[in-house]
Amino acid sequence: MFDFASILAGFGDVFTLWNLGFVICGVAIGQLVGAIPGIGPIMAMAIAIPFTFGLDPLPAISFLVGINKGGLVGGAVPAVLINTPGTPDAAATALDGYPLSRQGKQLKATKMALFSSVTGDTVSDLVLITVSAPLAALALMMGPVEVFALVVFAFSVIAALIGESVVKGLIATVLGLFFATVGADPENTTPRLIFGHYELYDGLPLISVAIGMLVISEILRRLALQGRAAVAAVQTQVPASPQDRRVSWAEYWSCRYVLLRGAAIGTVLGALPGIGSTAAAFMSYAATKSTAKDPESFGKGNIKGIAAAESANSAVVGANLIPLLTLGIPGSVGAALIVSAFMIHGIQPGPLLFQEQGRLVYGLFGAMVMANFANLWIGQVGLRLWVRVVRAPESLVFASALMLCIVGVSMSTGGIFGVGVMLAFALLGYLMLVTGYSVVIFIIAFFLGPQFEISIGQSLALMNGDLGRIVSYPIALLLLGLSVFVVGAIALNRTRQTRHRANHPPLATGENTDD
Amino acid sequence: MPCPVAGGAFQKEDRMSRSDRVSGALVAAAGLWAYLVLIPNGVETVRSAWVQPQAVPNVLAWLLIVLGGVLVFRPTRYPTVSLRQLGRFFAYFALLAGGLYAMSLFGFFQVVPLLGLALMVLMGERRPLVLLVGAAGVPAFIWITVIWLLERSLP
Repeated sequence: MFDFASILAGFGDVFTLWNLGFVICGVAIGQLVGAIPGIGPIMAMAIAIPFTFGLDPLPAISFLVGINKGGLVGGAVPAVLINTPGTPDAAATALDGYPLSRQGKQLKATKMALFSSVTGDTVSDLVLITVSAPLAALALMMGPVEVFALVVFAFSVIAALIGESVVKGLIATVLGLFFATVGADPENTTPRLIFGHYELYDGLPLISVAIGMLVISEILRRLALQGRAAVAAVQTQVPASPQDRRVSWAEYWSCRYVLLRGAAIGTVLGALPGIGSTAAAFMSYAATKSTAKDPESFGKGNIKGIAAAESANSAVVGANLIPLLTLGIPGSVGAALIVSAFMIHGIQPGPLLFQEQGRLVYGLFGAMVMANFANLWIGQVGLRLWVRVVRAPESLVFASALMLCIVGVSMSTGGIFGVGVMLAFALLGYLMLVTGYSVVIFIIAFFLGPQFEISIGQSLALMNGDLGRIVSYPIALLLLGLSVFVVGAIALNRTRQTRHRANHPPLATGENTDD
Repeated sequence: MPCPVAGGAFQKEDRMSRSDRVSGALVAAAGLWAYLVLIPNGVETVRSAWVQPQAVPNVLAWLLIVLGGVLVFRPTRYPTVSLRQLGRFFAYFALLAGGLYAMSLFGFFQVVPLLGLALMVLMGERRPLVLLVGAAGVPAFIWITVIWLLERSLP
């Protein structure tokens, strides 16, 4: 497990000009798309995956990780400038970033977001590098029954925590699992639900499903919501003094505890499947505000508010890879997209990854650390440029994204059939989005479906078809018990909240459900 | 006498529950259709297996029926999407589907400039330079990236 030659070789691989180039390109593209409201790093990663086919695994995956990391930094730019977060993660950043921008301190706010983001991300990466190998060693001791129970537990946590309704979360999970059954049955290899389309024998193409549900459906939802693509108009104040254009060391140092708390919250929440970076950012913001000596200054342009939100939301990225690399379970949609990149290159994520592809894993860790440096450097140079990017016409951005999706899916699936599948899932994704079902849960369940079904078959074979023998597997029993507890507890909590709202109706609701 | 504001809120509550009732009914109906039609016609049976090929899809179809039913009877508050929004979505969707069909007949690079232009016009874009970039610049970028740099083919 701890092969120092692989560790050194892996870290060494990153320092080739070729690999470093892809890290830097990924970060720059991530910052660029993060700064454009409506695109964001997840869409950019989904669009970029098919274009990485021809690359070796390390530059390809480093490029995607770079996009993800850069996107979180870029997402803060429109949050600060126009109070429209480029990514949902940056919503908490806007609370204090936008007021600072109104005071003519937009460069100070975006630079503080950059420094906080890099700090949080680096702490989280160090935790990932330190704990993932020992956790993977523990995970290797699990057999098929434990793996089955673990996947059920992951589904329960994700379905219960994402979204407002546990029932809708469970429906999204079941739908994802159902579509994962299309293709050859894993035990008998008989075709299932393909109805003569032998392109589907290996299952529905993950890339078509992911891009259809995550990118196309979201773009079409936005276009349908606003009618016509608006052109963002940015009116920025001219900074009054040089101090308003930079973050001094004293200002950064005064935020050290806020940054560390944000990084800790982001790392812990990121390691748990299902809790996203948006929740981490708001939790860190709330914790900072509640412990501050001047809580009334938050929301009016307090630099600590930006530090709290950005350090937490960026810390989630590295920690998200902990369940992915140790257990093979993606905890977020970004991690699920990285999984699809692994699989495209013939690599199965999970505990065996450290044994079979140790050099690649440590290369990835090295690339993540380098991406943090690149984020800092490109951010310093590029922030003035990204400020202009916010003004890019949405019509051009969305039309280009749609065309790139068609090209990417067509390239990866080898023809128009995959693009048709993508459009079908865009329709399903849109219907799920507008009715409040999580497409993130769907994608994670769709990805884990085959592994889930294989583990059921293997578990039944191990127990000789006698389900009562599960009592001989205490860890599996514990995980299944926890699954029931998590779903039950959260469903009960949500019911109480609903009843409370029903008993205390708001006096005036300003919701407009028409458009 | 009931408070008119609270009464209005309860009416809105009813309207906001409708979305979940309809989607729950559709999910349950989809589960039933999968169980009765899709799985029997689309899955072969085998003589012996620990897990029959239709077992997992059948269980999932049943879960959809049960969970959809739960949502019909225990809906949450969720805003209903307007018909205008649905109409706009289907306009964009139809344009993409039509473009895709045209690509299968005439080829990618023959169709994509027109598709880009049509999409941007539908989005309300009227500036000639932006339209030119979308209709010519983006396809040229795709051609350079895919055909020239990556040396891959397109349909």
